[in-house]
Amino acid sequence: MSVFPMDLSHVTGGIETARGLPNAFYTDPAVFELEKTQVWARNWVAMAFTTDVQENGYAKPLTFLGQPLMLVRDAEGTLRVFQNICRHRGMILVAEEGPIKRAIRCPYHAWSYEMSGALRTTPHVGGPGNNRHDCINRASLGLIEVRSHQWMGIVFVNLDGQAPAFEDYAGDVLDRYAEFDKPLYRCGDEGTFEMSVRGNWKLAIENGAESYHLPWVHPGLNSYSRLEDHYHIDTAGPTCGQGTTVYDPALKFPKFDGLSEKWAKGAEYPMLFPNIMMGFQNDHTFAFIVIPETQERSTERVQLFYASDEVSGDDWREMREKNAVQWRGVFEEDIFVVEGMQRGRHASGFDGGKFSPVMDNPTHDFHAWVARQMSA
Amino acid sequence: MTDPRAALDAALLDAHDRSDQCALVGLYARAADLAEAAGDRDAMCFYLTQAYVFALEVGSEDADALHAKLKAEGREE
Repeated sequence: MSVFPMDLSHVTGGIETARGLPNAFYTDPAVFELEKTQVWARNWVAMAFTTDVQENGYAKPLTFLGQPLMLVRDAEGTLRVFQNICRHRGMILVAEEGPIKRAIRCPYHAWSYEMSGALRTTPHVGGPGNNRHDCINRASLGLIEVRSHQWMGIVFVNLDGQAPAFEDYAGDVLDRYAEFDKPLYRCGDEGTFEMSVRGNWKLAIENGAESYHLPWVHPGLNSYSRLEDHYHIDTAGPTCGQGTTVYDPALKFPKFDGLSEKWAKGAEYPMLFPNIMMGFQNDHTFAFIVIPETQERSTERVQLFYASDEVSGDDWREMREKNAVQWRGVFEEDIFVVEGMQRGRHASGFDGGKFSPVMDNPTHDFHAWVARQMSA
Repeated sequence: MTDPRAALDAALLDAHDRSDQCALVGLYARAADLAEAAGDRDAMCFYLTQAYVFALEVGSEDADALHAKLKAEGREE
């Protein structure tokens, strides 16, 4: 029996006859809540960048889908994700990001945790001056770790801990872009930025997945990357996207070593469902993470990654800034369509939309994937 | 003449107000010494615990010695 109380077979059917996801998927808080378990908890989802915590011995709290989590990089550099709560009374442990010397002390009753998550001490738990009690088994009361995986500078989490291994979940993407799985360099603060969008998270992914809109929304591309230079990325996994065969940027950064001929002029922009778009180009990559805030509001976080640490230098600053401005401009050009479609989803007559069987394949793939997640 | 216990309490309050955990490690350790001198073992372990927790938080090298002392008293794992 379907979890979702609505027949979605018209979404998962063939593109010639399919309709898009119903309006409720964009406007109904009850659907948004159901997505938390059906889509967000049981899949691998992009949550942060590894460089959000750059120093060893550092913690950064964040709220993800309403849950208080924290990124902790320990003294040896290992990055972990924990639920940001004390096992005693559920108090928030880390209110502001900052260095951790040796232990994370709960500000309430001072139960203290090592950066590995182990519960180090439980002060006065057996009465004043007695930090032991037979009922307090520290080994079973460590911080609740969230299953996480790092790839291409991105921190992915699997909130329910039940998803297949990340390598299996994202195997198609990992194989397709294995040539890029090498050191990446953030190279300056300007390449990391975020945008707040008045739109459901899915609209940003849908928009990024297809090239159909490029000549209209990004007319600047027409002169060097025409619509006919683009193709759909079609894989069996939780992915879709688009590629181009004429990548030849005006800004020339150092290129990745050892790329195959395909990447001399090729670039691809895959989505890894549910919430990340990535860019693979011969001189830099990017990650575009969509974080849902409510059913009608999202945060988009972007980070650019270069092929060489050389780009960190002042000699490259002007070009880095131009590149970041250029990308930010492209992403900002997309905001009005995401926000426009969000407003459109309040029109009672809209039936989810009619797809072009030729141009909307990635959008249909994504809608069908969401529909299957919600129905399973 | 100032009562040393009163002076220590004042210093502890001041350090708490300033969130000066490094100072708190030393001040609570001194409070533990006074309690030990007075033969009050429970009070000593209370203050040692306070010192130990703040020592862990600030990464003080005193943490291991404080832990050892509490463990010897049967108050810590």
